[in-house]
Amino acid sequence: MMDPLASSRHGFIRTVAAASAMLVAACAVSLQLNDYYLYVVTIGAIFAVLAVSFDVLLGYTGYLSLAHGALYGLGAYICAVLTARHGLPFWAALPVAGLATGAAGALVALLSFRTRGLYFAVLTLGIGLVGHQLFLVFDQVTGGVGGFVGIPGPEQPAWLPVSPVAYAALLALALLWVTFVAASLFVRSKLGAACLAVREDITLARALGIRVAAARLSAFAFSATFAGLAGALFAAISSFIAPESFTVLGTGFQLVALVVVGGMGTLWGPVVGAILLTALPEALRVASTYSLLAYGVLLLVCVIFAPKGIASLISAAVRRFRGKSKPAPDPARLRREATP
Amino acid sequence: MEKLRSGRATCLILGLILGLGTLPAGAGRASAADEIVIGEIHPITGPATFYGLPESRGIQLAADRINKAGGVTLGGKSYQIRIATEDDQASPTTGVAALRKLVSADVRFIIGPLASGVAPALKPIIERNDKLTQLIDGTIADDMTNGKNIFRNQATASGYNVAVVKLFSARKYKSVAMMTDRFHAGFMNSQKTLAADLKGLGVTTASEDFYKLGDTDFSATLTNLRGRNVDVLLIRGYPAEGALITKQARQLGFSGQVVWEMVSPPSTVLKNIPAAEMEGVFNCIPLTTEDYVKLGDEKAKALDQAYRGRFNEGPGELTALSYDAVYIFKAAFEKAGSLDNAAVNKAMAALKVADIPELVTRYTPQPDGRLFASDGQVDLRGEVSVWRGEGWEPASLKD
Amino acid sequence: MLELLPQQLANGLALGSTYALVAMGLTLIFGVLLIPNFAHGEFYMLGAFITYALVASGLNFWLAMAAAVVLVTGIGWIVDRVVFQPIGSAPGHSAAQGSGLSMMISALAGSIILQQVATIIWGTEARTIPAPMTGVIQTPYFTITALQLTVIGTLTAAWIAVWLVLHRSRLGLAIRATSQNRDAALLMGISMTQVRLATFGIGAALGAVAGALLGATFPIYPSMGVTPVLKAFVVLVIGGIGSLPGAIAGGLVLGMVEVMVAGYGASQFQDIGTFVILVAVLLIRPQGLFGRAQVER
Repeated sequence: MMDPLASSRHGFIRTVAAASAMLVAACAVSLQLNDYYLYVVTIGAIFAVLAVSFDVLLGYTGYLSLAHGALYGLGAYICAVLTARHGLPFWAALPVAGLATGAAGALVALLSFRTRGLYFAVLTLGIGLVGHQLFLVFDQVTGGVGGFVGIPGPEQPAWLPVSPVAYAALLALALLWVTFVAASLFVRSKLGAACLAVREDITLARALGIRVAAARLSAFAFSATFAGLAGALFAAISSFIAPESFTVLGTGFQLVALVVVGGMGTLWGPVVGAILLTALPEALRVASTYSLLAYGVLLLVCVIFAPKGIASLISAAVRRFRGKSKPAPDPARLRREATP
Repeated sequence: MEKLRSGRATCLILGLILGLGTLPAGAGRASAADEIVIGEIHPITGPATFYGLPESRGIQLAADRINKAGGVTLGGKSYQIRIATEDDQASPTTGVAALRKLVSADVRFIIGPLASGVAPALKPIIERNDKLTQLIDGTIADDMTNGKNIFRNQATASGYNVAVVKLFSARKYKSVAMMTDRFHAGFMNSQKTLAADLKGLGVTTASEDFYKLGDTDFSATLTNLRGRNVDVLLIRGYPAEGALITKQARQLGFSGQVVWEMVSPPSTVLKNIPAAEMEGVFNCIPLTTEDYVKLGDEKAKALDQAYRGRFNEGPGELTALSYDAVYIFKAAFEKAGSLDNAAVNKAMAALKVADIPELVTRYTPQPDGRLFASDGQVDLRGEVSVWRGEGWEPASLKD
Repeated sequence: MLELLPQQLANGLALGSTYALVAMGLTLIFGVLLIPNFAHGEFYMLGAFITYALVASGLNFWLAMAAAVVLVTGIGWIVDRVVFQPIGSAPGHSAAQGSGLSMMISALAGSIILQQVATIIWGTEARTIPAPMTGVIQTPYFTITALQLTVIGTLTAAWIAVWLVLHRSRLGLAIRATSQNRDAALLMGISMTQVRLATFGIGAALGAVAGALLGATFPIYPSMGVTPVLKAFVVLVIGGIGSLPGAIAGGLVLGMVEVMVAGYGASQFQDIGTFVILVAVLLIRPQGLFGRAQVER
């Protein structure tokens, strides 16, 4: 058997290289697109950021949080208030929004981790609903139901001569890259391994002396931080946000769908899920009044025929393509084995 | 067996992904030389279709009529109008995607949106684009127009409130309890001004309560009314909740006057509350398609018939506004004599009510006869109507 | 304000019993089959719409309601067959963790589909079923409508009926055995198909009863089930998952709290108050009011 740590490091470098290549390719393709497709790419990438960071929590610890729609909104409102009301530049507001949301996430986690299973899901559902209500009720700060108007966009450097819409797409893709690399690092760390132990058998993990509380708390805080960053970027490029973008039903459940349809616990599966489920409604515009029905049917087909997510199908297809004589290892399995 | 199944599924889903990638770009074919494309953004799917679909259809109807009558004439050449419909599901993100899709297909004239949540999301994009002209036919939230390239032929919530103030001063009510739908941006934003205006008349606001669309139980709030002894219960929102609050208020022993401020077609009202319980309720909104038909307006009757003939049901409350919007665009094109956005914007701002004889809605002209004020907003005022028998009718305020 | 307290208590009881009625079917299906059935809101919606359609075509309300219950029970079986069974039985779904989540997503998909079908058939215009009774009962302390009393009565009757089925029939024994230990029940030769049909049937029927009755009080439209089902999940957790008395107690607690917050606090905090209570209950008693000591799921 190889040294697991060396293999892990090797795998990480390969992952980063692949992600970087994808980033460059995605940016190059994006620059050829019209504004409409650029917007779809931007929204898809923002949801992919949410999905990847959410996968760290759901896929690696097994805890289903429905509060992330509100956390995403918290990041958006923090960025909006800091840039529009206090004149902070976007680049200063972005990390503040991320860290503050991460802190809020840690607080939510401390409260919620007293429960597990469906109780955890419903408790976070309640917190998500309260969060959404707070955005509505504190209208002095958030603009209430009318929304927050006039959020300045991210400052564009002079050396990057692209349209603001293309710039937004590039930023979203870059944030996706950062999220993916950070998430890969996290799941390969000791904390990540502890998270897996929590998912598989929390009692056994405790018995083995694994610091369960620290592991799942850090996973929650990690996912909340990146949800906050995604929210901040969304606010800056939309220049307008309203509470209805941060509901439990719209965003909270959507996130779960992205991760489950894409493939839990793979990190790259949720990216595929986010792209697919963002592109699908746009593609279904041609179906007009039947578009939502078609969306529901396709979602059902995906869950039934790809129980482990689209990621597992792609892995299977890649395996078959490489031929049966030389069975290539499933990257997801390899990584699982690499983590102690 | 398992392998077979997963293989087929792989093909299915990979095919789906590939299929999505190869879908045709933009909003269909490019515009031909002799046609003008007007984009419309309304909720065609989702919970708001009850209001959105009749708007979209009204636009289609107007375009067909204009085309049949020879189209739009510019410099001696006639153009046909083509409508590009995009769905916003009343959601901001979907709405922005719809707008971007239209813009990418080089559509430069937009009618819509309906939802108060979508309009402010579109505004920053449209304001920055000098190749766009927007005419809002839906939302009543304040501050949506700019008079440069964003106009609105729908009333504002403040326009609705004109009728409320008129009613209170005519009937000399002393106190009011307000219940407002807090998901309705238009009513929420104008709540403070309305309360101040009523205070100016010497009316005490005994309580301001808020509910949300889809709420079903108002008993706690309405029970408190009993102790306060107010003259008027003012409900601002949508008719389903309006009917429910009215019913529950009566059941809990409220005996004062009920006043609605909401777009509430009698057909919808009657699906939710017996006619007898509505008797004598006031409503304070501008006249709607149905009201114009009732008043015997020939243009409204023609619209109503055409709509029924084509869609097998009556027009919606807002159909007339959407229908008018197309005619306003036509008048602006012809006045500008070109399809250049700057020229159309200028012509739009200068349009007079008298320039557009086809308008169904009866707008109050600006002092100089123009349709739009300098901020791009029409003057459309609420009227007080009262429920008698099976529907609304104009109320006489003297007695 | 205090003189209004009896009325507010009556309001809370009436509201709470509507929550309990919706939550009963949900807790049954979850308790026995471990399916987080988000489509329960659509059973409720369909119960209301079918009753409405039949009443509109001239049928008596109670007959229409009975017919709606039968039809929705059938729809419940179809939903189980199409939406949930493929996931329960497919290879790779066996891991409890992933299967629960897949169930949730497929329930969500099922709920979207049912809502859209209803939209295509009936449109999104809100309507209310003509009330089968309109009386208002006045007492010196409070007033309550005959329909609200009917809802409270139906809740009690439904509870008794479900209790009798569960505790006084062979089928009920099988259902209870399954909810306690599915594998052991299978080994004992209990037919999972029968248990599934019975549970889904009763659950869907309870949803339809709630829809028909509440649709005569509240407006009905295709997305009407969304909020009640979220509230029902909260009720479930407050009461203790899988416990019928818990669902009823949880529903009543929720209704009382909401009315008290709106009546003595501010109406816009009604929702927030609800969830503060939820958080408080779970912090003090993480397994809910009537829950068994935490079962690892």
